[in-house]
Amino acid sequence: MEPNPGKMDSQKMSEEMPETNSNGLRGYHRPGDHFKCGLTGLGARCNVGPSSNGVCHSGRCEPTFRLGWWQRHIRGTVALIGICCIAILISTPWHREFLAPGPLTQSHAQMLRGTEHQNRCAACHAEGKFPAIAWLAPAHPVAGELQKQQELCLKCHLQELPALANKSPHDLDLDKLDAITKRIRSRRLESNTHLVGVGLNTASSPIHWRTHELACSDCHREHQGTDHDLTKLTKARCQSCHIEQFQGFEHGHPEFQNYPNIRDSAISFDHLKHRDLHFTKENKNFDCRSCHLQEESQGAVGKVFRSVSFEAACASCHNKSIQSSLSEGIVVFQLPSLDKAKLLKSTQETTRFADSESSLQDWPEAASQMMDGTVPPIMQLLLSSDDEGKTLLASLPASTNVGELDLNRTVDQVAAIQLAQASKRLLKEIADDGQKAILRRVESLLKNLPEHPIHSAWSIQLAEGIPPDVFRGAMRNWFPGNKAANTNPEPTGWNPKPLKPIQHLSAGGWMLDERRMAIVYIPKGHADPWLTAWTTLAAQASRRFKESETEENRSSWISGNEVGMREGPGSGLLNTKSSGRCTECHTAISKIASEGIKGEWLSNSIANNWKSKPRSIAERAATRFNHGPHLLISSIDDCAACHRLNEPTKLTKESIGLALDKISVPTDKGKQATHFISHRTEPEPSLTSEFAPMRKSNCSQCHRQNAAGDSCTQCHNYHLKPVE
Amino acid sequence: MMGLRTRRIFSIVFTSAALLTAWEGNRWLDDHLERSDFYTGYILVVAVGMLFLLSIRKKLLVLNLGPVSGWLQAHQYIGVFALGIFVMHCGWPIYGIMETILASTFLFISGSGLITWYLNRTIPKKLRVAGKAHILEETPAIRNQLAQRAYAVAITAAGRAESASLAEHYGNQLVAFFQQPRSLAYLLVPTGRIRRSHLDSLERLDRYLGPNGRTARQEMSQLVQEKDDLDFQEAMQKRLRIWKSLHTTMLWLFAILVAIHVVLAHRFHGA
Repeated sequence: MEPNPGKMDSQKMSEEMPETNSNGLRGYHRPGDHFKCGLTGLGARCNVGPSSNGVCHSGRCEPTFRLGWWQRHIRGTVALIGICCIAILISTPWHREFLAPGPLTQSHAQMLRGTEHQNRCAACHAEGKFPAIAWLAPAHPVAGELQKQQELCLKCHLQELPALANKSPHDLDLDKLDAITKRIRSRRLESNTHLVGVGLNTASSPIHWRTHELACSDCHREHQGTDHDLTKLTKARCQSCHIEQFQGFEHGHPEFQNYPNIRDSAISFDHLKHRDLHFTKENKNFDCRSCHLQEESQGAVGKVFRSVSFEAACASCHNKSIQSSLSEGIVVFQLPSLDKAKLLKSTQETTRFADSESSLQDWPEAASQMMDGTVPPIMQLLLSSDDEGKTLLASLPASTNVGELDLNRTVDQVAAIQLAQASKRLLKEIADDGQKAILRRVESLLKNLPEHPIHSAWSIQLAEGIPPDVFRGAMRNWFPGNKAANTNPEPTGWNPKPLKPIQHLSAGGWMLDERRMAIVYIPKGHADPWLTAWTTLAAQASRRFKESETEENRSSWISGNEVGMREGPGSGLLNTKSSGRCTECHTAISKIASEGIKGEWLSNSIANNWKSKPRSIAERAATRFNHGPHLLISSIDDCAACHRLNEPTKLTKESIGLALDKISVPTDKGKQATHFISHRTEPEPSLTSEFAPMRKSNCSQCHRQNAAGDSCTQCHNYHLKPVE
Repeated sequence: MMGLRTRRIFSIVFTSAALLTAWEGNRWLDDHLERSDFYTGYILVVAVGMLFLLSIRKKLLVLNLGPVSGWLQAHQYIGVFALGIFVMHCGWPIYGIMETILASTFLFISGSGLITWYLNRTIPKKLRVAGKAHILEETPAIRNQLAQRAYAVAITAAGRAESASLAEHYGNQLVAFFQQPRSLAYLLVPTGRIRRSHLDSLERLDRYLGPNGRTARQEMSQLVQEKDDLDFQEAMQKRLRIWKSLHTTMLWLFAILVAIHVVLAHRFHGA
């Protein structure tokens, strides 16, 4: 076999080289030397060769550099030139551009556009503020503090996502994460099925977040070009932390549970009833888009709204019924009709009522025929501003109907006389002091509601517009002996025909209703601010009243009186059949009054619960959905393609787990009064939506790997910010 | 000692397994939010460091560290492994001036390494059919020797009337061919066109030559063939040397760029 010169070991060749080689060339052969004999080219080199310094021993030739020497020197020169070039580039002001691993994403680049050239790196990198030469120093001041670089990210992003400061998975507290995981694990063990949620694998978690804080750059890699998607996260990266591993959305992703999540609304709207009853009756097309889509907005399909305004969606049908319910107005103050003769007789017979006789003497004859009338809700609220009024209200029947008082009973006689005195006192106070008296009473009432933060503004809203002259007129007409009321006597000789309230004040306002012996307010229609303020106050007072019921030491509201108020003062405003019928739709207000603020969907301020709570811009739930692009697809451009209404089911007390218990309570006459108390036979049912829950198959038809995509971050937010 | 074939199979299997392991490791770390770029980066640094071992081995002639061919083979497979790791490390596209220079340098080194590998495999076969093997450094001496032999044949022919035309032809056509190295064009694309041209013209002289002259002409044709073989060997060996030089030179430059890159990566990775 012939030798392979290309792979021949030069050392070996050198060793084996005879004095005269196969080519007939004679002399030494030392390929490792720097110099070669000057006569090599002529084939006349000597057997000794030049020294290591390049000197010919015999002086016959001038040794020259070998090829290897040139190669080494060229290599060294190139390396040196390279070092010099880099050193020059680093020392120039453009070294940041030279060393930067790539362009920033558009948003970050825009932020730094106005930043000075030398400070650009320092905006995100702690090292950036040091000169390039300092980076080589091993004992650099920032060495060991590289993790703090993310603080520079948080400097800007904390404003948007404050929970980032946790530096934990999903920005959640680690204890909370553990709790969620434990709950999901136990649910999995119980059901032996796929997890409903996919809890984090906190026990055998990846290296990172158990050992140290998560850094922004763990997921968001910058310098990948202007169009790089910083939020892109692979399915594998998401799943690495989660207990449940699956192939993709179509295969293995847990089935939706009540998606879209039930988010109770402050305003009740029965889609089914409207579709099947009202719209059918009016021969109208029940089109979701007409209310939930604003087509003139920007975008291909317009803006999709979860909740809509009254004017846009309800006014055309409901304005009439609201106006109709307000036609008689809101009775703000009313003199109850009392059996004056009987009461006077009792005062004369009993020394206990000696000082009460005078107060009944000037009671208007028009309100003295029989025991009749109730205390209007707003008057209840005004009366309850002092202890005397509270005691009075507690002594009245639950309905405040004076007709239910038994004047044969001393306690009811006292209640009737006290009511007369309190009514006259209230009327006189407002007639004398005007809105100051209202403010005084309202402020006194609001002191009992310390949780409300805007008392002064609210009390002004409650008092504003109340005309003292109407009260003065009432005082003058009903109690002519009062001096303050007589300062502006009514001209005589004109006796107008009485008008109905809505005829009298068709655009809203205040009136004195002589027929009913009442002062009436006609609201301006839907969302009347004055009525809204008083209804809010009624809800607040009722809530307080309910809470006091559970306290060990009951307040003076109902102390010792089993027949007194059960719903709190002003609760009549919360009745769905009351004037305005506010709570028929604004269920949150009545719900708060009876149950308090329960559930994240309610605002802590009652006044804010008149409107459906908009989804906060800052809120970031675990799941997100953008209607816009979906409505462009012809097969699902009908909202009902995904949002199907549940078929109606008949609700019974049993079906919702309610039962009534009959209880007997002894009265002060030794008789038994019967009451019914409702209680739950089953745990409180979870909120149910009027829409059928969506299934995963609704989405997976398109959301596949090779179709619309199935990455986790397409539908899920990583950085979570729950609703406050 | 393993045979070449066994070594090749072992090397391919080992390199593939190493690449697969590195890829899996890279994927696992990336999926687990770890800095997989540091992982592949340091593997690449170690691999590049191992590539320098061949040069070191060549310097350490006194130590018995096995044949250079074994080290060369290891160098080649480590190079392939490094190329795979480089692809994992960089991804695509590559941004940044420094990063682009670094990547281009590495790709050039890999390319020149692969070309050198190919030339190492193909040139010996070509040289085997191109006459006797020479050491590149001895080429001028051998060329000189051949030129002297051709001169001697021409002088002898000039002394005889029957072969005077051969001497005349040598003087007109062959002196430069024997005494000078070939052009750069031949170095890039070595062809037998000039050899064939000279051999044809020598053959056409036969009708003007006597019996002794023809013998001298045949001797001259043999020398033309030997000179052409020598030129071919020189061209092949120089081509190999140039690629190898470029390969090793750029490897040094790459080492410097890697050092800067590592410092920058550590200083700026935390954001």
